[in-house]
Amino acid sequence: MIEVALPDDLIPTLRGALERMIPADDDPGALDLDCDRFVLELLAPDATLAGFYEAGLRALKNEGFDKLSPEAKDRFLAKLEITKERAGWTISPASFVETLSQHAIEGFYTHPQGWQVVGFEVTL
Amino acid sequence: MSRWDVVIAGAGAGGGVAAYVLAKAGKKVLLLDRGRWLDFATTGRDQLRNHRLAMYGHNTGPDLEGNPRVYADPQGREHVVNPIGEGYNNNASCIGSGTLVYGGQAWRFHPLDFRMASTYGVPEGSSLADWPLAYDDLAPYYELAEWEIGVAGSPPAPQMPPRREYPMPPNTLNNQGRILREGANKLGWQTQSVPLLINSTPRDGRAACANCQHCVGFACPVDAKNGTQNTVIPKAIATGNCEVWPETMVREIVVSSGKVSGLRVVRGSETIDIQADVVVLACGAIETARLLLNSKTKEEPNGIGNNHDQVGRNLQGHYYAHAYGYMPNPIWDGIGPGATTATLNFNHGNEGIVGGGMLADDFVMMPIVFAKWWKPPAIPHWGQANKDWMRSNYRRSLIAMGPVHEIPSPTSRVQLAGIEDRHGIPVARLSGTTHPETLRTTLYMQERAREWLTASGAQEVQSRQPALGLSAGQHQAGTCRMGEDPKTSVCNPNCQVHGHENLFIADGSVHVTNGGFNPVLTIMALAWRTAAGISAKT
Repeated sequence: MIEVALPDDLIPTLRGALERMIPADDDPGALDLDCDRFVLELLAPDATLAGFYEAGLRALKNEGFDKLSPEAKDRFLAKLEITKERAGWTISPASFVETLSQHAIEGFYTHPQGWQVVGFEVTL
Repeated sequence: MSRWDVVIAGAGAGGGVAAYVLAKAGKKVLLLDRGRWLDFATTGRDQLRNHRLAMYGHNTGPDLEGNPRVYADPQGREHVVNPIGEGYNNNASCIGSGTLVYGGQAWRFHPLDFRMASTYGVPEGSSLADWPLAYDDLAPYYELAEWEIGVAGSPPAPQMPPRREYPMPPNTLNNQGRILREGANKLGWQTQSVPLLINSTPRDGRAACANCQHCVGFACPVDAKNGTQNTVIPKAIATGNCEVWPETMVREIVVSSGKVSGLRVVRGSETIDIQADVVVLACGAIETARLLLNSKTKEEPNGIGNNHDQVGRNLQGHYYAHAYGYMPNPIWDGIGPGATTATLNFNHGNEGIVGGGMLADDFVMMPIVFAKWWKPPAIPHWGQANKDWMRSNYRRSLIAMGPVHEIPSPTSRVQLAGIEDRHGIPVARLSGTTHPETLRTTLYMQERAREWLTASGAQEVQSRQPALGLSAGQHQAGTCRMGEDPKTSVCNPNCQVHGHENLFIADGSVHVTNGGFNPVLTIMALAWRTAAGISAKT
């Protein structure tokens, strides 16, 4: 078990945001390949990063992110991605979305099932 | 107290070779490294913690804690960085150093690489200079390195002098290489296989390459990759004349009555003075300079070899020219190592350009590297469009790249920072940038790379714009350049530090320029020559 570095009530927000970073389709998405766990493992030993995530997820949640449709989540995240400062945010929304997207990609494409999605075949 | 004929600081490409040559000649050699003995089992395959992509650590060290450097960015702002931080310019910390995890491209420098200043003139503000030795001086030692460490490859391209064949035929050609060879043919460009320090046939009791997909950045799962840790260092030990001390950090060079007498090292909790007739430094261009600067005496208050303020200057590595695009259909066959095909048509003789460089295909690429490094700006960073792009382009990707000549700058340098490492030793401060001419050479080579991909049938061919910055990295070089004049160099042409008859340098620090090629074979050959010179004299 890893020590969870985020408050329980932010876990659904984390999962909801990651789900939009790499959505499931005919192939698995970020949540199918445990990208939430990947992020929590990065946060466990890194209090600075954990604080950054908590600030971003709290702001997202306060803006009603959890209740949005998938399409509305995408539009909102795309807007945040180009927003450096925003009322209710203590960190840069753009940095938060960039960090989240990079972590999602790292968790996903280093996972053997993520390799299968793009066709990276390991023979040894 | 410990007494030796020769003590060598640093067991990488240069130090490993020097240990072997000297031990074989009958010298009692002590080889030191701050890192450990590592192998595939102890370094593994973490795709985010390796020497190709070090997001959260390195598979070889150095440890993230206790080994800081200070990096001054191009705007002059200072940052304290750990070994994965921007501007750190890390090299592997282990026995073999980078040769445990490298791709092993085994290029000789071109004869004109040693004659850059007389070929092109000296751009204003640069410290471009000729080497005080020539290709022919190094050629016999290139051959020794090729045969004793083990290179696989084909005959040289017509741009290079003839040489003895390699001990092994080239590694396996894959689809991307075949496509690039056809493209080069259409352009009338010559190609050759990329020479690799990787067994293509079983050799010296070790296996041939298994064509896996995790080569550069990782240790080899079948030990087919020839580093110093599995070739010359074991051979040095086998002579009975060489002992290796891992996890030993050199604090300073010790001088007695004006003469270098050994090294003061930290081993475990002990500080030990090692006495030796000859001291060889091979810690890499950053750490060797740091060690000299940290070794202050009454006669040389700014560091040994540094009375003319030359130690640490001319830090350089390699800018990489590149282009990327996509073939109409998937071409990925995953056959490693993957660097198969190079052109040497543009290393020199490019109108209006200082130098040039070699271009080649890349090692089999991990999807995470494709996602992070090769995404065109027009593709979103996340979401369905990003996933679609990854899925439809990874296996169609075609890339050409290669190191270009760096035009050195005296203000790109290693100095001492105001902070210390975990042993209390002042750490390196890196500052400055390459000379702007390097960017022109890079841009010129990127045009050639795009031409090559386009002729090979790739679409949406593009390159990123290079920016002026500090360049060192795994190809770090230049900080203790050799020359005849102590006012403008640190070592003489035998790689002996000016004014110290028993202090030598055997790493990339001594390179006056760093060639338009990966530099490791030159480091090995030069260390061979330096060590042969030491054993002949003492």
